[in-house]
Amino acid sequence: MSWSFHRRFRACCAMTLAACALSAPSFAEVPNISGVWNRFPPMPPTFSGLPDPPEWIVPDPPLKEPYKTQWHQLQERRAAAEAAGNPLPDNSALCKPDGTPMIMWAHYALQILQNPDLKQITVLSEFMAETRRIYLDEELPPIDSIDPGYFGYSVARWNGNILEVTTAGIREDVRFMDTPHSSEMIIKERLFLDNDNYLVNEIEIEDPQYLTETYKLKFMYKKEPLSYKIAEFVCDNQRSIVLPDGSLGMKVEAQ
Amino acid sequence: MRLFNSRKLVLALGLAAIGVPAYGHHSFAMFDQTKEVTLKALIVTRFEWTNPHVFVIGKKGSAAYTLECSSPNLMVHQGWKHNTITAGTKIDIVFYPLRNGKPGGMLKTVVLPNGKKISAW
Repeated sequence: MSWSFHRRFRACCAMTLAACALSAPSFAEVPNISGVWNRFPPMPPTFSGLPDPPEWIVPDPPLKEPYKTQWHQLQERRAAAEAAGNPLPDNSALCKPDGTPMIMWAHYALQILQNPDLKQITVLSEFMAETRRIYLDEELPPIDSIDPGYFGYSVARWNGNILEVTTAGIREDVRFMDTPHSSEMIIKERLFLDNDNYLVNEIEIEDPQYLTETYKLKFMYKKEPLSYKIAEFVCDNQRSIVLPDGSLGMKVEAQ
Repeated sequence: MRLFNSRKLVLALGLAAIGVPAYGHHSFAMFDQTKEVTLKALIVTRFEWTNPHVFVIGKKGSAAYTLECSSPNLMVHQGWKHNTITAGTKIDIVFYPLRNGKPGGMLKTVVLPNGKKISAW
């Protein structure tokens, strides 16, 4: 081969490498977060009497007034109703989906699927059989062009080993732990594997109309073995009923 | 109401003295968790292997009991299957009764005809 061929070949390789460096990383180069994940540390067994682990404690939302006062009043009503044995219902007790970001709170297991061919990461929640689609290497559309929904529209890109997800378009009646929000709410997530291979999700919620500052949450998940199977969860036997006083009751069998 | 989460746990400290369920689809405050009711030889009339909760419907004398269990996905990990009990199975149970006095509650444990004790949560 001639010297000029070698020079052209090297130049071509250099240009190709440069192009690769500028483009998004391929799936082969990014962390593998596919699998079934459960929150870590786990909740204690039911009826154990043990308190929730601190990692499950959710900070109060940094709401502006009057939303802050309204939120606290609602929590006080909920606590009083609990103590009186007349709990107040919420969406999930009525078999409605959690939506984003509550789905990531992971009441039950989450299955994450990395789909190279679809340029998509799919999150399947065992609870309520919820589905969340995260589109890779797309720009977030203008918020007013997104049809509001439980999960909104999520786009993401890999920044090194961190999956950076941005979501908008959450219905205003879909609330994380009773937290009100506007149609302009933006949810940013940073998902990454830590040194012990736990999946970490750092969530930041921005909503200048309702929040005084960014609302920060952090969830951690442990990967389950391949033998762990997600169960079907069709919420079709609802015996939880809203009673005339607005509290939640149980429908019993006719005598 | 949703699952028992820390915020509600903190707010409802009065309940915390008695085994507050850590997992569940909704609040369990409608059940009196200060009382455990034992029923011997309940005859199962229906076993509803469903979501969001599994239910055991059973008869004892003239009363029909409605007993709420956990969800199938969690009960599988406790060793349950859809046919662990069926109509006609005679079981001994312990449950937390409904506060409103109606015949039913949250099923805690079951003793199967073969003597095996199994948790419903």
